[in-house]
Amino acid sequence: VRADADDDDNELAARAASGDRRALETLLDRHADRIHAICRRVLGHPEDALDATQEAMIAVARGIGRFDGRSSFTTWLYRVSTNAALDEGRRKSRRPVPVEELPEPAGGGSSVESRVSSRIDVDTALQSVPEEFRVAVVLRDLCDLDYAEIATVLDIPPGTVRSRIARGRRVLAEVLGNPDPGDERPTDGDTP
Amino acid sequence: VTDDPTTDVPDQPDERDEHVAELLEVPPLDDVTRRRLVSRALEAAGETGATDDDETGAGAPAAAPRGRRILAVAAGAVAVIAVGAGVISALRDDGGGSGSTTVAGRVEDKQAEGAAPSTGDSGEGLGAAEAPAPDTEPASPRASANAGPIDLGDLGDVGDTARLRATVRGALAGADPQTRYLQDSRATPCTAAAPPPGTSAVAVGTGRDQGTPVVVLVVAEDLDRFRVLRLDPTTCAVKSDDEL
Repeated sequence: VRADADDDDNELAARAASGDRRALETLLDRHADRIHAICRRVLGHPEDALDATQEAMIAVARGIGRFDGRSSFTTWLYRVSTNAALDEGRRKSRRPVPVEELPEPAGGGSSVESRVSSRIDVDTALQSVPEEFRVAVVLRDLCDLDYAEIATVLDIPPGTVRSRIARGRRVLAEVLGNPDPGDERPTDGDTP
Repeated sequence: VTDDPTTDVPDQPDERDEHVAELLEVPPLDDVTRRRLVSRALEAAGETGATDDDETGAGAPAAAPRGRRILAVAAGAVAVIAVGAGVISALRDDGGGSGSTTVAGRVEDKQAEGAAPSTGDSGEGLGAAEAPAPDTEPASPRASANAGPIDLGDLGDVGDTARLRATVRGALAGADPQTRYLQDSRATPCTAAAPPPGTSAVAVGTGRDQGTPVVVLVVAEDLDRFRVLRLDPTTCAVKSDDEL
C-alpha cells in the first residue's frame, strides 16, 4: 500500500514539477498533516509548528520544479519538513517566550484532561531529548521510516541513525517514566 | 552528547516502537487550517516561481517569521485605534450587515513577505506580546481609510481558550493589513456594540463554541495589549473575555 502511495506521490510530483498546479495542490493537501506532525513533535509548540509547516509547504511548492525523481518524493518531503522545523527551532531559540505562550497547566480528572496532560508531558519530554536524537525518533516512530530512509533524509550513516534513535528513545522513556528527579519509579521502554 | 554509533547502543532490531509512536501521534489539522496552509504555499510559489536554490529545498523558508507578520498586524491595529471612536460610532450607525466571512477571501498576500530573508538566520521572531511599537512599519493607507476591523474569517472550533488564543494569533499572524480590513458595512453589529469601554475592536471572526456559533472579537486596550472575546452572535453578549 505504501509503495503504491509512493508511486502515486512520485507521479504527482513529476506532474507538479512540470507545472501542474492541481497536482501540487493535491500533494500539499495530502501531506499537510504529516508535515505538521513532524514540525509539531520536533518543535513541541503548536504555533511554531504551524509556522514551520507553512515554511515547509512553501519550500515544497517553490522547489518542486527541480524535483527530478531520483529520490522518492516522500524522502524529499521529509527532508524539507525536518529542515523547516529545525530552522524554526533555531529562530525560536533566539527569541524570548512570552508567558502566555507557555502551555497552560492541565488539571487531572477527566480522561480528556489526562490526555491533554499527557500530551503536554510528551512535548516537555521531547524537548529534553537532544535535537538530533529527537528528529531521528520522530522520523522512525511517528513517520515509520526505516533506518535507511532516515539516513537518506538526514544524510547520516545508518549506524548513526540507529544510535540516535536508541539514545532518543532512552531519554524519552527516562523523562516520561520518571518526571520527578526524586522519583524512583521504574521506566518502561528501552531503558537498560 | 556523543553521537558515536559504536558506543553504548543496544543491539535492537529496526522496529518501530509502538508505545512511542502512540505518544507522538498528532491530531490531523482541521480543514480550514489545512486549506489555508496549502493556499498560502501555492500563492507564495506562484508569486516567485520555483526559485528555491537550496538543494534540500528546506533551508530557505520564504515567508517572514511570525513576529514580522504580527508586527504588520499591529501596525494595522494602530491605524484602527487612531480612528477608534469615530469608527465605532460609524459602525453603531450602520448597525447591521453580515458577519459572514470566507477562508477563500483570506488567502494571504505574501508579496511583502516574499522579500524576507531566505536563510532563516536573520528573522528575529517576536511573539505578539513583545512586538515593538510598530513605528517602523507604515500603517496601511487602506486601513486608515476603511478603519474596519481585521477580517479573521471562520476560525472553526474556538471552544477551548488555549486553542482560541492560538487560532486567533495564527489568523492575525497571517493577516494582511493591505487587503483584509472589513468594510464598515460588512462588520458585525458586535464589533460596534461589544468592545468594552476603553478598547477598540481590531479584528473579528466567527467560530463555534461547543457547536454553537459565536463571534470572535479581538479588542485592543493599547498598542500591545489585546483581549479576545467570544460573543453571542445574536445578542452580542460577551461569553468569555481572555487576554490574547
